Amino acid sequence: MWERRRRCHCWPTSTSARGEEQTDDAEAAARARDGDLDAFELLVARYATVAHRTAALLGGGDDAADIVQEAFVKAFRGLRGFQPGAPFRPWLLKIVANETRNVQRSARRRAGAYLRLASEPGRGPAEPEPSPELAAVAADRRARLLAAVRGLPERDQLVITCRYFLEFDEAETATVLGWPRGTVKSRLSRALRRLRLQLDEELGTEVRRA
Amino acid sequence: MPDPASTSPVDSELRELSRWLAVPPEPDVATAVRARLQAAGSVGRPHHRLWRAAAVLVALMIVAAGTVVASPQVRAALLDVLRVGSVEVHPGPAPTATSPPAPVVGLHAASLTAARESADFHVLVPGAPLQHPDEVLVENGPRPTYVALRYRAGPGRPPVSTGGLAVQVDEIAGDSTRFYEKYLDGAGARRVRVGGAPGVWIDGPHELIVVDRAGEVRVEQPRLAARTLVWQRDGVTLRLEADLTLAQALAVAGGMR
Repeated sequence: MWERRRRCHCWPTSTSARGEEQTDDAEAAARARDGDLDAFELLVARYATVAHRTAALLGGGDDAADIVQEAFVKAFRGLRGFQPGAPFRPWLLKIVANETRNVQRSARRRAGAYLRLASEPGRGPAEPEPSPELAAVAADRRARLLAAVRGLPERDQLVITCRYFLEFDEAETATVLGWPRGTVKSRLSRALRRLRLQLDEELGTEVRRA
Repeated sequence: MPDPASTSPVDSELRELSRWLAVPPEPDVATAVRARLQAAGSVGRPHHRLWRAAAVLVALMIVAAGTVVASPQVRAALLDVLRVGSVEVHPGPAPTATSPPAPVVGLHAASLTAARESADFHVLVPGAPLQHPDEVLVENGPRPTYVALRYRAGPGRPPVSTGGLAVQVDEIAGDSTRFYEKYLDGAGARRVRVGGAPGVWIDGPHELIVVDRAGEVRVEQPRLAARTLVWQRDGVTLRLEADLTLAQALAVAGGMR
């Protein structure tokens, strides 16, 4: 049985932790707005990893490092427009997402998520080593699923990336992508339906072939 | 998180897939961001000049490291800089003191003839009254892509602006050696046309950092460059640094053969 709380080790997402962080964030953001670089550095340290993953997966790929650097500089300069008390994380990640789009546009690259398989999984909960056969089957399944996601329309890819690969909640996804919440919901269910259909079709083809 | 009730296979498989997605290595963004914010004078607090120089250096080294992954267009767009060939011009705060001329590492002195024979491109030389340079520096290694011509003070030459030098011409072929110029608040940088090609004119002293083709910062101490004209000709980036007016600089540029 898969574990619902399983998530990448690398950034905090649990609701209670986020609640506490929001208080800290608000204070740090307020101090940073007055020119306190130490306070801003706290925010940079806290969100650098999720910003980097966001930039990379939303389409920045290898340009993620440059994008994130630029996004943080812009965020600092834009702090005056940041509403005191509002959550800092989605506000920042929206800047990251916009910057990613700008870079894609100026490099005349195709818009859409940047999704590639790594040779090793990111750290997760300890799991028993699967048999080579099972590992091969799982790898094949992953490759197909990824190919299916990459075959989806751009906006479907983005919503899946936000919700599953970046583990944003619905509200955060809406902020980051700049869509209404209802659109996030309907897009996601449509994207998942398309994925299921496609995977079922593939499976069906195989069964017939066998 | 997506609705926990919808625990279809696709749902859980997407979660598992998430662990397997490739993300490029994450550099130390905090240092880079701090350096840029401090270098750009975004903060109201007074800051130590030495720290600022170090910060600029760090920021630019990181920018240089970025050349590996980001295309020039991408980086230019990101940094909002004026870019001509291998030279990037960044807005920046005013420098407050002059530094001695840059130490020369990774270059060797050569005759003009030898430089022209070994260089990977046609080395241009200003016409009268400058003509033959007093010193020619060539990048070490086979097929150098960077050559500098230096002219010392003398009659008929512009006033000394950079540590005993009256004029320096830098010629860079390709994209290997990079110059980063940070112009100050008072001196502007603006786009100009040089022989019909786009160029940049920086109207006053500014900080200069050079990153060589190995990615090393060859000029270790940011120096204060004089007025500088940057342009390109036949794929070579040219940089004329001297205390000249724009019209004079354009005349020198037009007379290079």
